[in-house]
Amino acid sequence: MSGGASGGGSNPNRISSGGGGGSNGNSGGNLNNNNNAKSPTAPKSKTQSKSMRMRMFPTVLDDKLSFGIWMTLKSAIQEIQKKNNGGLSFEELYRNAYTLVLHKKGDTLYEGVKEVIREHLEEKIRIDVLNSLNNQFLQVLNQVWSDHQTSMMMIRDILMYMDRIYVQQCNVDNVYNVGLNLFRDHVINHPSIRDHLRHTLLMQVTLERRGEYIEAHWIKNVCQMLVQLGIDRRSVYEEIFEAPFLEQSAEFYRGESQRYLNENCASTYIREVEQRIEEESKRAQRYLDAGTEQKIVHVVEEELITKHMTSIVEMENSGVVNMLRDKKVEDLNCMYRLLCRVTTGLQCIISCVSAYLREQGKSLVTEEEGGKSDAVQYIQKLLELKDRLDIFLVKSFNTDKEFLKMIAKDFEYFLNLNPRSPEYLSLFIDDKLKKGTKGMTETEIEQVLEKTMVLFRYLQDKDVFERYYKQHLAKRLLLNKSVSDDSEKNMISKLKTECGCQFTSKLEGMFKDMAISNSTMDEFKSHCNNAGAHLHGVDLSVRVLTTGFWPTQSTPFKTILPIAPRSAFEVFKKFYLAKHSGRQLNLQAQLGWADLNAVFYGIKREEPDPAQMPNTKYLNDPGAEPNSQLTQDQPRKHIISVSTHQMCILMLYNERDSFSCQDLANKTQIPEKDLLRALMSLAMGKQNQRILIKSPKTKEIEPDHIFTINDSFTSKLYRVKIQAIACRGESEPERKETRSKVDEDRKHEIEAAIVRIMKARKQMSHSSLVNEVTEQLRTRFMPSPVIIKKRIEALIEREYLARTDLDRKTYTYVA
Amino acid sequence: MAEDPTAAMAKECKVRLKISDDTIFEVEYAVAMQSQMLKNALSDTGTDGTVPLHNISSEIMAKVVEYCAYHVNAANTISEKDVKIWDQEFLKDLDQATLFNLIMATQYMVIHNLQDLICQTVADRIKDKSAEEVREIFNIQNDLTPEEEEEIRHENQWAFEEEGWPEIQEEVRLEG
Repeated sequence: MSGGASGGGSNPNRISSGGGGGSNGNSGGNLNNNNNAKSPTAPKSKTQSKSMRMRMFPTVLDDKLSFGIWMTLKSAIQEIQKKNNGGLSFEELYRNAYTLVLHKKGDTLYEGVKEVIREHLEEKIRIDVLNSLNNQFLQVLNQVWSDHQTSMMMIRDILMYMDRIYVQQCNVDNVYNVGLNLFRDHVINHPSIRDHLRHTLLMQVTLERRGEYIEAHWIKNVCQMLVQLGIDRRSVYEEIFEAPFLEQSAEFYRGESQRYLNENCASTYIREVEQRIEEESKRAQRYLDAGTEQKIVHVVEEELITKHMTSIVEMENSGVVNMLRDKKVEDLNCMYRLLCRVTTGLQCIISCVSAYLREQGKSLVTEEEGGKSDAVQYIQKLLELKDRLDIFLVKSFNTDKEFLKMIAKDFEYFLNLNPRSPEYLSLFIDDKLKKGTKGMTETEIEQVLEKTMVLFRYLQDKDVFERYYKQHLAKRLLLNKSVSDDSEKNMISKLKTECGCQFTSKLEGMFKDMAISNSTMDEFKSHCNNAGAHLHGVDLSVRVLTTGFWPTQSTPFKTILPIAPRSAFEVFKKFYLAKHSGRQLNLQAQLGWADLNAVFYGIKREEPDPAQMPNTKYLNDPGAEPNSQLTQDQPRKHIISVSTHQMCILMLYNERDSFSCQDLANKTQIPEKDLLRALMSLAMGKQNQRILIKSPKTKEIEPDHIFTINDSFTSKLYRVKIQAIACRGESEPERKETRSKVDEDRKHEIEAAIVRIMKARKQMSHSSLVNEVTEQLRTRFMPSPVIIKKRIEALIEREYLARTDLDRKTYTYVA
Repeated sequence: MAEDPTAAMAKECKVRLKISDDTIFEVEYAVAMQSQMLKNALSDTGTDGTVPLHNISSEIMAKVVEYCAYHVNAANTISEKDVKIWDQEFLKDLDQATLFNLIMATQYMVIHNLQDLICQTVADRIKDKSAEEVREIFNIQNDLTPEEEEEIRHENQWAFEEEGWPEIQEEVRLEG
């Protein structure tokens, strides 16, 4: 609104009631007299009703008047600063300031106020503070600050109009901030005061660190003051207090760290560190600015943890390795928590634990040269190691993901160091699934199997495991040693979840075969009854196995069976082939067993008079040769449970009492290693298992050694089972054989994978092909790039693939 | 100067405003608090005394109090639409002089919402008026020479064109 020229001035001399001198009531609102109720004071030059009349401003507030107003204000401010504000009228002062600003005297007012404040601070406040330097300094400082704040707030209130209008227009600091800046510049930043303040604060902290009691609330107020004095930045606080504080603290903790280290015990060190962090945190919360807490904690972490973490972790006799050995779960947890605070801490402790784990694992899997490890013990120890680590993982390391990863990696590493691990794992499971597992309940077995699955995942050569598992499973099924079908099926479904159907389809096939065989046998029995077929006195039981599902014998069967079982088998064969034409049946001798009725005649090799034993069924003695009688003991009957090979051997003893090894070999045509094994368990087992006597009594078996029936065989049991020699593992040659079979299979799998991939992609470079193949096969085994390359060459030869003309390293698929 | 810690108690109090002709307006605490300046005054001096407001006439004061009293409750209980309607009614028949007095009063007393409302109303009143008419309303002396006036009009010609940009309108239609 521009000052209009309409109408004469209204008298500026109207004095409003209640105000201090000279304030021009008509600045702004209606100067109210009873004279003018509604209409403006200006003379009316135009119609009144709708048109706007400019307010009649005194165009100029003359200098004398404005000076007067200013002096009023000035003295009022000074009274406020002296805490004598009781007698002042807020409204009057407010109006005075309003007037001045309205009449464009804003800058005079502003500068004037500034000067008043500065004068007060410099000439009164500062002196007071300086006088108190050695006498209740903090207290005095707090007091003057508090007073300053209060008076500034009041000053701000009365100068509110100036803040709103003048300050905004001229873009200067508002009144309150002016006060802050002046306080900062003239009081706090005065060298003596500043230095003394800093020194006092730091000293207080030091005292408290030593354990003395200090007046925390003074410090708290002072810190808040410093923060506020920075207005929007923390620079005042940081410069005067925080930065030197952090530096002093760093030095302090440097010393402390040495002290702690000298105590030479990792667990006390970490507990002390935790305590210190706690203490500093609390201190910062109690009386420092909020932003300082994080910084001081960081300093402590830096000095006490980061700089020394390797020393603590590797400390002799008390470091992480010792904690692991002594199962100090709590200590490890504390260590973990501390190291997690700093960036490289976690890595440090992980590598230490990893090294320990690898060492432990390696020692478990390393076997002496040529020594035979007990597979069950081997796996059992590994499982225990895993359990131990799991406890640490959960209790000490809060199930941290990095630790999980580390454990998995390490187990993978050392488990695969020993190429026999897959075999041992299979044997372990075999042991658990066999009958007589020392009374473990279903759930216990389940738990153990679950844990073995964990180990299984770490295996690299899963196909080797598959092969062994098949073998062991076959034995269990055929020799009827399985503890329960449910557990077996359970195990297979676990493997299926882990590896997919391909892995387990054959295993499931084996189960199916067993079931089918049972029903076949039932049919056969009824067939025999109906057809009156004669089984030559043999109670026959046949299991029909599908080739391909079951591990097969490498050598064809040429053992000569005794007549009775042989004929019985022929009957069955006829029956079966009549039912299923187009199939072939081959007898597999290595997995059969037989129950023989045997009579032992006592010390002398004699045979009883058949007439004396009318009740016995001489199933296997059709042509018993009569010998002289004179027995001293009663002949003893037993049922002996033996393998097929052993049956062939023993049946020969119906002809004679003793044979040489060579004889036996010739007559039975049993392959040599099977023969030796059979003889060993017959002749060199435990005392109550020796059906045969070997002479000479050496450990090895030579072709010319003699084996004789042991008539003085005794046993408490009626039915004696001849144990096979404990074959906890394969012998070397067998192992080699299995290995080569595995390699053969792998070749095929690699080739199949290559062809599959190339068919889809049509063209690929060598390196991407190798990567792709590895990726696809890694769940079964890790193919080496060299082998893959060989297979590629082979396929090129067989014209499945071709090299491109341009680039020898790229291949194309040949349809 | 006492602060105002017992706000609850103070709310019960009435505030006394003494205006230029010595009339005393008694208003409730909450009503008075709408004015920033009164708020500071009361917090600094306490609610006991009377606050003198010499610049303001009783008529204007009445209007201000009316507005503030309405708006104390309006925030919570009345819908926005109704509040707007009331506001329009409030200012409808006031002549310009009163309006401007009100503006000065609200600026002095620091009542933001009322100030904005009045300014908006005044702005609405001069909208779409020619320069002459605006001069009439504000009683401004025309201090431009005819040449200057012509020049200014010419510079700002574009703002007065009604048709806008027909080409662009065409394009919009095409695209749409």
